[in-house]
Amino acid sequence: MSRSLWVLSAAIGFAAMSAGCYRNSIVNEAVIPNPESESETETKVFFAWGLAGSGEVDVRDHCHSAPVASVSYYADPVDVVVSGITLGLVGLRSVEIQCGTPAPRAVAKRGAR
Amino acid sequence: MSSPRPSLAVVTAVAALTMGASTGCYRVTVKSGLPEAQSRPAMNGASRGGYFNGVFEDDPVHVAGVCKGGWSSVHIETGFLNGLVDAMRGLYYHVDNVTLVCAPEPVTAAAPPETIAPATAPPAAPPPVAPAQAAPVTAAATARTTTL
Repeated sequence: MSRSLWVLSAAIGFAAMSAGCYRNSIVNEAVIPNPESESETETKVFFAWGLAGSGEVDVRDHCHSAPVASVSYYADPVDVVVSGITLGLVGLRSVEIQCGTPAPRAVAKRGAR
Repeated sequence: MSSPRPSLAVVTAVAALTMGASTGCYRVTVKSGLPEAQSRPAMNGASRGGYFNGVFEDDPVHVAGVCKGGWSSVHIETGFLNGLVDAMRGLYYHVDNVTLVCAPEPVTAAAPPETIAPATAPPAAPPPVAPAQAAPVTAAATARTTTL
């Protein structure tokens, strides 16, 4: 395989990894993502291939009283590299929280969060 | 003849496998602050994942269609069996277990005050009328209606 093909493959792989591996998302359609506020990311640290470590996230720490539009769980490239270097002894996972405002139809409802 | 003793590596591996199988890896719980509903979780350990090691997610969980009263907590973990399957599949497909707990549904609004009956005693029933007395009245009313 030529060198350029290797570089292209690595670039595609890195671009794909930038989206985050192991991704799982929760979306609340009753909430409109706030375009003015950036999503907040919280990194959780695990040990021994994820067997040990705390992964508690409270969205009120990020959105306060605002409702949550989406929550995404993934491993970003840094998380993957750290896990790889330490052979899984230290593993990182990221939780991304997007705050928002209740959709007009759901304003009157309590289930905005 | 002595029986072969398991090596330390084998014991460690078995212990790690047992511990891993009984728990899960990379357990993350996200809480919204709302109380949990008494009913079963809307999703209980559902397998969700994505292709190319989870980079391309299948489809996000849509909360509004599942939890009418909002969500209380989301629990995501890589189950031990998921890890084994991942190892066999390579980078092709990654699966996590997702548990979604809803918040209690909002109580429907009470009826407006004007529609609520006053808390008074019900009106007294009319005194019973003897059939002999009732018949002429009815006949008279019928005759009057007919003449009109």
